[in-house]
Amino acid sequence: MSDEPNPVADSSGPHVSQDIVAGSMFVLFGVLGYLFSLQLSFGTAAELGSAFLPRLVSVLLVVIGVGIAIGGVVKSRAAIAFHSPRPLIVVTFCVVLFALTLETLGLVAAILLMVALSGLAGERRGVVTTLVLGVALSLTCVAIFIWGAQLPIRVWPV
Amino acid sequence: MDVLNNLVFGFGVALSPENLLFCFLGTFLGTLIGVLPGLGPTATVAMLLPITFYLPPVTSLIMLAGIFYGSQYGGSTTAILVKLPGESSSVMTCLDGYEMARQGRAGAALAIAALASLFAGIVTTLVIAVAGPPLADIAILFGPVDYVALLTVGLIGAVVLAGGSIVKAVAMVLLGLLLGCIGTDLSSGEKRYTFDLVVLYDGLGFVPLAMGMFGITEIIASLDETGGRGRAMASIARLWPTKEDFRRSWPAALRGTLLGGALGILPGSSATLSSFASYALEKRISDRPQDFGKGMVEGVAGPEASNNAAAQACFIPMLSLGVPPNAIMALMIGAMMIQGIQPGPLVISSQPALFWGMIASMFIGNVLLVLLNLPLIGLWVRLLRVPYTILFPIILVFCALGTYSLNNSVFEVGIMAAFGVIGYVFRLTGCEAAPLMLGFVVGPMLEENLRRSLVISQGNFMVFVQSPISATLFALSAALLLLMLVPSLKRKREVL
Repeated sequence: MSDEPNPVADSSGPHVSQDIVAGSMFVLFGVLGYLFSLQLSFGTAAELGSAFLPRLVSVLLVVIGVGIAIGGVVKSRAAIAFHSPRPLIVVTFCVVLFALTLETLGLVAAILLMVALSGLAGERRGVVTTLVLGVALSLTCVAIFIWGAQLPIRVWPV
Repeated sequence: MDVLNNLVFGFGVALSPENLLFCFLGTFLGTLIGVLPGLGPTATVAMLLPITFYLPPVTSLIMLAGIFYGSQYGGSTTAILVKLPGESSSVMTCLDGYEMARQGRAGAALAIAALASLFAGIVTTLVIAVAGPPLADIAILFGPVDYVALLTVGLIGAVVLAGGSIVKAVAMVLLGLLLGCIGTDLSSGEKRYTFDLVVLYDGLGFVPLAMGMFGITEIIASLDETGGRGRAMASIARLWPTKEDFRRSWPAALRGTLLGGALGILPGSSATLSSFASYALEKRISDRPQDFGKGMVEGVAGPEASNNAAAQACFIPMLSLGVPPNAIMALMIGAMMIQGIQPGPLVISSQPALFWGMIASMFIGNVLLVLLNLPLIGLWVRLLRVPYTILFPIILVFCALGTYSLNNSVFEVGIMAAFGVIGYVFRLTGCEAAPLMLGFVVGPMLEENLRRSLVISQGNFMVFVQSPISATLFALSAALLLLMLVPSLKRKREVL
């Protein structure tokens, strides 16, 4: 599936309502927002505390979230449609890996790793293409960020 | 002629070698990235934000404005050549523009789009110069109470006039407000949602949030939709439009400009709204409405003029009131604050070089855009042919490195990744990121003014209906919300 994604075809997975998921997420954020605001002072009307806005917003989020989710149960219109979780996982992993390697292995290695890994996200790239892309991108970034902007970023491994 | 003197002063600022260079760089980079499939103006501005932070305030905002209209224009190019609108405001351009391209008249469509945009851009910039300062003079009289009302109207208007589900947009605004609460509360000194992480004491970073929700999310979505492949594209035979094209285009461009300029100051995705309105208008008054969608040049000129006029008109509330009418202007406000400029009605009088320099640079930038685009169209076409599987790692590296370079913070790169995931999940569930960004930026302003209002009124919430300005604005917000209950309008909105 991931090698031959068809842009037209709908998700072949189970039918998951957009509204139920969206509503639940809003409820979750609202509940968390409310819980973590409990330790803050609410204040008075004349002197609003730091908890006033967060709590107000959290309560509204829960109310609207429940509304959206119920709407999804009752009417259940659009379903979530995506082809493969692969781009989400690979792209996120690429960014996290970049963050983890940048300060230890340095800029060049971090870029090369990221470029190499990113090939797993979609259509395959050849080894040569990947190598050329990685080297060219490293060189450009070093030129812009190190030689040009003179930023204190580690270039090579420790 | 006060305006004229000020414009001369502004051109003095904008024509300095440094500002001119960065105006050019901004429009160039904006077009370059805007042309890439799937990257709309908001994503482009978010991606390039970090570069501008190293520049002086005026130069950085001139460059950002350039990036913005460059990417807006780049979106039209992809709309015409590959029927892939960078943003919803170029959707109408796809209809007749792509059809013209298929008939071998891509060059003419691109040229008409560029010239219509240029005309609209220049007219609207003049409007900003004339209307901005008086509006700011009025806004200076606004107290905190009125500002609470103004920000509320802005948020509600943005939600109501944007496409998609209103309820979800409201929820996204609220989530943005909640995220805006993270960090040290200024008046009590209490730490909100920081989980004892020192990096969160100053609040959630604006750049990682924007880059994650617009940049990273966009990459993931594009990869999933196309599998990393490019798209089929029309070829360009002849650049210059015919006399007949010109004769039919200019009235359409004029009408589009008026429509876009008038609708543009409304909050929300007014550029989209006005391009739809312009297309509908052209189709209605045309003597051959049946040919729309089959390559009518009016269908390109009108909407293109209209969306550009509206896009520029968004600067009016941003510059003269400090209220962002949409996500891109929210990014601009964020950039201003990072530069140490407090957005609001005082910007024009306290930072004349910024306001007038930016306006003058918009004239220059709009001309540069045409000079840049027509001869370089071959370059953009070649860029469009680069497969996405090569492009996206480049964008990814620039996003990650750009975020990191702000504070040398690995944590912020992680935040960006997290919001990339959150943004993607929201996108899958039909929730747009723009309202969240708006809430995030407006939140702290709203809270501060709310507090000040209530201190002044000694805790009396009635104060918001006692001030005539605020009462009017709140009535307007209520009317906007009620308007959405009208069934016929609701249906029309869902088409958008």
